[in-house]
Amino acid sequence: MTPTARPDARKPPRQPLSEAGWKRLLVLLIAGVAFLGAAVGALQVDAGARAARYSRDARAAMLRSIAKSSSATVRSAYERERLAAHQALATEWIFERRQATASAAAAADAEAAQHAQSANRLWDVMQTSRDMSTLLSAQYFDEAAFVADVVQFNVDYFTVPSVLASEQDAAQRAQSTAWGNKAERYVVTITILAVSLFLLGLALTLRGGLRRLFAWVGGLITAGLVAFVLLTALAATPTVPDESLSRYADAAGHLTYAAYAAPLGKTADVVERAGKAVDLASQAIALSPGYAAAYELRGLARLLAAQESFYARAAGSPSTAEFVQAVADFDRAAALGRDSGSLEDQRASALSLAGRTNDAIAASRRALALAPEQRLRFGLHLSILLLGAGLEDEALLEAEGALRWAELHRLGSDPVTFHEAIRILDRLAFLGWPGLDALEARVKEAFVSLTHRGTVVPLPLTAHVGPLRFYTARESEGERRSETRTRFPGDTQAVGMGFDVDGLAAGAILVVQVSRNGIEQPSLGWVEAWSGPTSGSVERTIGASVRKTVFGLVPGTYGVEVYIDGTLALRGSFVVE
Amino acid sequence: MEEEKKTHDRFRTVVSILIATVTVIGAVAGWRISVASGAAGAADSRGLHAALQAANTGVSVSTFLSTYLSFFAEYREHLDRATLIERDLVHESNAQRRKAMEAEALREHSLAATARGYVNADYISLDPDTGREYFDGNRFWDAQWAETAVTQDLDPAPSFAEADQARTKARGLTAAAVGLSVALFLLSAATVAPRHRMKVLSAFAAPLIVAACVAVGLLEWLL
Repeated sequence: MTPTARPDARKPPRQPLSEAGWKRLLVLLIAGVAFLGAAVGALQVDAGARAARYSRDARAAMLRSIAKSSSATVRSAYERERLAAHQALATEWIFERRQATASAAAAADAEAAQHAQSANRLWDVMQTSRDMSTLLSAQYFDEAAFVADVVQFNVDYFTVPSVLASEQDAAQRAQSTAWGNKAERYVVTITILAVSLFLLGLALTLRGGLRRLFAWVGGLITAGLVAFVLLTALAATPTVPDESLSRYADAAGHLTYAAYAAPLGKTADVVERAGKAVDLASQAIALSPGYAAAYELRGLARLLAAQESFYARAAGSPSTAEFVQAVADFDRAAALGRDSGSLEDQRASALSLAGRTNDAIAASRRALALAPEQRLRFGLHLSILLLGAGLEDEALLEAEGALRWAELHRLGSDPVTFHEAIRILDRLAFLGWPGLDALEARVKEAFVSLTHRGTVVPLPLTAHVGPLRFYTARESEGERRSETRTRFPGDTQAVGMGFDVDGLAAGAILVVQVSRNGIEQPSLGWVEAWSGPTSGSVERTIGASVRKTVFGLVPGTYGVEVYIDGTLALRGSFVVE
Repeated sequence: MEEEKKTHDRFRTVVSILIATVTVIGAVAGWRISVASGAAGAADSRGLHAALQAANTGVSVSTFLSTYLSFFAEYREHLDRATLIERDLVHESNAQRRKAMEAEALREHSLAATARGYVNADYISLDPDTGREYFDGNRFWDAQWAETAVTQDLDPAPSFAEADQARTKARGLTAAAVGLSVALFLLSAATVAPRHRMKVLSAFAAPLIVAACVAVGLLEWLL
């Protein structure tokens, strides 16, 4: 006898369940399903209660945030009013001091003493009034320069509190959604459990194969639901600690300051503040590794700091590593669920500066697809990327498309977008890309033409326009204007500007834009419909809109651009020492 | 033997009655859970309404406060100017100049008076250290808030606490319902179990039923 042929004496053959056995099994299964139903019901009540509480807290936080923000707006208006009042006093004080000096020089001692006395009184009033305003406190006010750091005030009283409230609200809403989803899954579970209960109940009334089938299906459904409930109950909900939110809000404050300082050419401030934002965002991430918004903010701060150094062509110009780090942050934010045109647009910039041109173009196109309402902004960014890739024709075509879109969507085409694009193009000039100058001129002309004529297509220049000349402005007419110059002394009140025209039609729109050290000075520029003779000399004055004041032109390099019917006709510059 | 069967049948009847009782208690618990959840929702709504009124009041009060502060600052500036002119006036010997300064002081006093007319004088206080007037913004805020709170609910916290308490009650009742369902399971098993196990299973179920009933009663009484 071989071992395989030996009968297994220990294992009796399986007996089918008796009628009583089936009944017992089914009753137990039904009771078990009922218990499971009660347990899932308890979980559903708990999850629903949590979802409701988080939702309520989020709404309450949002209301508090709106109230805080509105109160901060009122507060800011008050602070600005106090600042204006203080500067009015300072102006009076400067005037009295000048008068005192002038009187002393003219040997009018009594008069000089009166002005000095008046100046002293004003100084005392200025000092005592400062305790009525936070903006005039030592924290924000530079007493030597008579300048208040309004941006820092706004960051402290607006940006940080509102970002914090907004992030708290978002965190509560995320919790509410997560618990709401759990509650919904439990409801689905209870519904399917009812089916299982029905099958098992039916099995009690049946016999044979159908009873077995119903019992098996009911049992399997129940087993599957047990696993589903366990997975749902054990799934983590997104929690961000308050400390992490707080660091994030502080980081947002520094980034806001840096973003404000960037167009003013304050590279050192931008790099310093963006660096602080990176540090704080890193701390927020360390406290909450799944904090998607913090990755995006850190990526933005890294990109801004690296861009500033790059544009400034400083000695410590950034390596591509800094842009690569920014890309990594944007990628992580996207992996954690952040998906917006803005993120893709910034990612495109970082990819481009990291040397991944094709990826940058793809990201920029994705940004456009995600946010078609940002066609102007993202379209101009894409055209710059295409220019960087050497695709000049494609770049100009893309820019043209964006500008045409702007003409059709005036409300979605704010000046900030044009200014930003012009600034980027201006700062990239050192790279010498073919087509860069043409694109910059096109965007500038489109902006001026759209603003003053309602179309991005300027009229071709038919008039002959002579070169731009600058001279010392005279208050009286008829004085000689032949002494052209490009340098003016520090106390210059206004600079005369002139050019010759031939064939300039009446009604032509003349736009004069003036910038100081590369930053546009809207108060110095003007717009006029030409009403003078067709040919002759155009003579105007560049100076403060209110004349005969104690203030002169601020020292710096002034750039002047003259547009005729949207076409950039003349450019020139002068220096106030 | 016959007697033993009779006892067993009686016990089975008791178990059936227990099952029916547990089912009824479970239904009662379910009703109370629903009532507690509804109460939580209602309390949340009241709390959110209070939060909305508080936000509205906050904006309104801060707007008035800012306006008063603004006029007060103007008032004090003119007053300071007038005071300083009068201080210098004492040392002024030139009659023509004195006259001009007096006129200037009068003008500043008048402007101060005009500005002060727009300030709620109830909240102008005197700083004991400097002897100078100041607008007591904190007192103004507290008073305005308290005045509004007389007619409107501005504190969402009590309603939110009430809602949280109702939710705690609902959770507790649900836990009691789970206990009842375990008892139901044991009793159902008892109905189909052999005689000797029937009593054991019922013995496990009984304290669960009692505990669940006590819990439901306590939750209703305490919360």
